[in-house]
Amino acid sequence: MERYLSQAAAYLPSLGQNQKEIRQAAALLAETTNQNRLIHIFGAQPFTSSLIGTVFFRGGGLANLNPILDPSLDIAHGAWRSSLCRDLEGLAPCVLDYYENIQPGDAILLLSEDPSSRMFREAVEHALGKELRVIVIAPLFQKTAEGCIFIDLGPAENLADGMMAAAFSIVLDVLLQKAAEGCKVPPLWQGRGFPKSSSNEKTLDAYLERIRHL
Amino acid sequence: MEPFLDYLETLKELIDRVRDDESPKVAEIADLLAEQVLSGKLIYLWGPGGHSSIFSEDAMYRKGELAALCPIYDPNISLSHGAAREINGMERVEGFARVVVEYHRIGPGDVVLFGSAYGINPVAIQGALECKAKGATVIAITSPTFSDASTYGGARHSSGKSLYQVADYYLDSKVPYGDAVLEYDMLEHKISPVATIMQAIVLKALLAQTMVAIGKKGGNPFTWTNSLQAGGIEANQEYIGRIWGKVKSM
Repeated sequence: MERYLSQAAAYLPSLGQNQKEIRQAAALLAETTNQNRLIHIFGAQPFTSSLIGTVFFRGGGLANLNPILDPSLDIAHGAWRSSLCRDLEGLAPCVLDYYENIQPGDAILLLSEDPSSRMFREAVEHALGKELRVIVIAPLFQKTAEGCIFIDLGPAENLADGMMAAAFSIVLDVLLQKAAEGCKVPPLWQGRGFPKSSSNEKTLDAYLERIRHL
Repeated sequence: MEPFLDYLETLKELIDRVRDDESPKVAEIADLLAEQVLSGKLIYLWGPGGHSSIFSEDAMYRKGELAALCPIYDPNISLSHGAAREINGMERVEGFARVVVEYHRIGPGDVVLFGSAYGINPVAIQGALECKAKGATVIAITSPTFSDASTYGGARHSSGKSLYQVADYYLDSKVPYGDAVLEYDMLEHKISPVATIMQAIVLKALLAQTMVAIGKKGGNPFTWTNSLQAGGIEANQEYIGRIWGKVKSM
């Protein structure tokens, strides 16, 4: 435990180097929310896909977060199977095109622990092609695609030894919290008695048909 | 005009055509399947398409059905996670067939029974090719009439081939092109599709022939007991234990 905590203490503060990008990204997400648009979030590998659960439908979280959760990357349908899907040509566009609620001008958060995977590269390319405003959270993303805000998790080796979940969660929590602070009236799930409360019922009514996985 | 009766009459005609035209082919295919079961192997069963996946699901864990099946239901190639997702997208991701074949470890000496009435989608064709490349035998239940008439260019495999053209054996389910079979003046389009029913009928008939073939060869194929009846779960449990893990859909 001491070793883990030491490694965490050495690595996690380095995420602070992204303050400028996080501010930019938060402002973009706030603007998106103020326009009554959805914020889409897609994890391009099985692990990053499952991490979406840390921010979706959580008390205090933004209600306009639209997760893209595809069975291709769901380890419930086979861990090895999902890893075989990572490099399939044409899969990412197929997944993104299915969500009718993705509109040009919306924001999308793309998470990847392996920016070299075809799934991730095609997702970035396709999202930009759909005129989405793209925020990438990944280790050492080669900026092959212009027009993204890139939040850098540092060298991939830093994400080993159980640091990955912490890194992604911290960045997502900070980013979405800052985005909510920048909204005129942030649509938030109310934490008290979550998910059962009268204000959550109104929020549910507002988003149930807009967000497929709600 | 009696739509209820018209539909049933149309089905009857199609079934008659299957009986007349396909019966001569059934013995050889059933014999092949029987040998597979008698050698201790499972028969893979895959309906690689949105509605085609019902073909595999229907045979799984059913009273009186052959238990030595490994039905493949992949969530990407079924309607369960979005009909438009599957039909408009996933079944056209040709490379996904390799994922399914590799994940289920289909290899030399295996037999894979494909069910796809239209018989044209990229995952179905690529799946059959991948199975054959691995040394497996491919049997298809499909409708060549439908495949040949199809003009769904955007939804076809890159080779342009149809399932019946790449399978080692096939049975024709006689699904007419367009699938819908009834036509009435007051309706703009034909209504009432038959593909799922005809595919299932051919499959059930083939599996019946297979179980009897196993019996004639001295075997006693395990068939499922209705797990809702008293003692049903217990009757199935030992066999479930034998295939658990191997049959991912169990």
